[in-house]
Amino acid sequence: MMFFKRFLLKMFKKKYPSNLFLDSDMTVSYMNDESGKNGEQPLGVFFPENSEDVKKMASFCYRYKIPYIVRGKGTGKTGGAVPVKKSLIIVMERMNRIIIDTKNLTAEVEPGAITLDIQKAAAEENLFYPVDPASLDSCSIGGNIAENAGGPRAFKYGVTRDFVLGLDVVLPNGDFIRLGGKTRKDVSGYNLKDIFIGSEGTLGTVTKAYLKLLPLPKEKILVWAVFDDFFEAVEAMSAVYQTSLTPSCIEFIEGRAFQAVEKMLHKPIPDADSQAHLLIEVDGFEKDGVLKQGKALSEVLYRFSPKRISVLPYHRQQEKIWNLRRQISEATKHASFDKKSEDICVPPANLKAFLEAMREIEKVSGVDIICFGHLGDGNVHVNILNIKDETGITWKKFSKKIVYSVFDTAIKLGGTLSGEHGIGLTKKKYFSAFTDPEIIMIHKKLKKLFDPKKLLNPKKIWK
Amino acid sequence: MPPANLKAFLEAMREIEKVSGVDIICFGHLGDGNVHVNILNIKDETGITWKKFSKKIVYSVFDTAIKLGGTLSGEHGIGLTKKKYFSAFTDPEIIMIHKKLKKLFDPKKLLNPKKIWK
Repeated sequence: MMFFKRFLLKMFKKKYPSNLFLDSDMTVSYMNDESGKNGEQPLGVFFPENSEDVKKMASFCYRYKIPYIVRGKGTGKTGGAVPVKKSLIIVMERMNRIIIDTKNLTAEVEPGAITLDIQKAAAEENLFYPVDPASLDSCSIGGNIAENAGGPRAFKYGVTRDFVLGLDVVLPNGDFIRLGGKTRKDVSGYNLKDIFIGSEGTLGTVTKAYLKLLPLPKEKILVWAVFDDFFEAVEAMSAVYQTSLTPSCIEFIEGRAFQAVEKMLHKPIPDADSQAHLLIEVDGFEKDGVLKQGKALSEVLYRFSPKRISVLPYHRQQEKIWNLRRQISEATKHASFDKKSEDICVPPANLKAFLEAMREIEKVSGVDIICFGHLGDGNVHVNILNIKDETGITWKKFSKKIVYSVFDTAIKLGGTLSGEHGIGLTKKKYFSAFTDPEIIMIHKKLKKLFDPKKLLNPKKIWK
Repeated sequence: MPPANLKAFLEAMREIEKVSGVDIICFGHLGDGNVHVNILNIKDETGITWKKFSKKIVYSVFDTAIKLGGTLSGEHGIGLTKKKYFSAFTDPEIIMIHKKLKKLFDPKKLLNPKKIWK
């Protein structure tokens, strides 16, 4: 059977000599993604150049029952792009066109377009695409749509879903459909577009997206508050909620996270030895306005006895801090023998209870749990680290139990398993453990509705 | 429709008015490209001509919106009154997905039957 599929792919390659690669040197580099999980070696790697190529490939795979995985830049954290079965990998990097429409305030983008490139193209026209995952300089919009990615600015602006007006989709049977478009509102029929957003490439292949853009707020300040008491920082965030201030993001960084970055970069970060940092950004169109908000914010924060508050008005200073923030994930990996990285989300009012529970799990288990992330959204990146157990024997035994406790805590506090990274491969057994069986049944039926032959990104999301 | 096509849409409405003789009054959420198009029978007291032609006019309004990259409804939905237009103007593949979704959640067809599509 596998021999036959390989033969068919060789035939298909005759039509696409410079798009389809079947040699082992090539396929071996598409066995994994940012999650670090290794899968099967793919049967081949296909680089489509337009939606017609995608249609032809989908029809071919449908006819001969060849599973395939659509891949952007492989920056996903949960193994969404890892081939579990012998599959074809569809890499979207050649489909990366970006057209900015200044009359409709929209961007027409192909899935391989890099998120930062979309932001830059929009900014040239004084327009703004706000969604800013930490990997924005290397991740692609197709992957962002597949995972419904977020980022710090989701606090004010929302996540990828909130900016997708329309999608062009090639269905598993090769049919092409357009859902929505450049219209800003649409209630004609069921909202099918939103079924595909966040479906982790299991239902259809996006070949183009129509994104909503906003006017570009050119003024920004960053308020950097340092706390010696971990929970005072959380209380301070709650207090900001009670005001009429409108920050674009409220980020939380545990001191130990900055210490890990210090260690990796071999350079000091001010006050890294403190318990917690808050990074609160205010954006707007007038300098006076954002400075006023910054001052009012500082007044609120001062009520929670911070060690210091710095208001950073200049872009270069701000970028320095944000760059440190974006290195945390890499740094905690660097600082440990192994790590489990989760991104639960709880209702913001339950953050304190969640973080207290993490402290308790740390105490009982002896592992290190470093938290950081989008506090304003209730979305915490929980890094469970093996720092002490060099042999990894105890770690292997207990780390899954700890992950389970983290999820259990989040769910009991009205939360969810993932705020922005998705379920993919690494969390699917937890998804099945913590999700209402009725809801899992609907997932399976939806999958069958769109992909009856189970070809797209097999064995993901649920067990 | 996409906001950049509003002018073309409103011009087309004027044209339909001129040709058909009915009154078409437009208002609504211009910034979103979402126009409330009120097609009025002001002149035909008997309603005979109106009955004959009003559906054709509605069809032309939708046809114009779709051709300009728009959608049948910005905020009122399809319900009962627009379902035949939904079926006329929506890709058959998309209607098929609607029917399959309906079946997935409501296999006995109990909830709000005979709405959205024909």
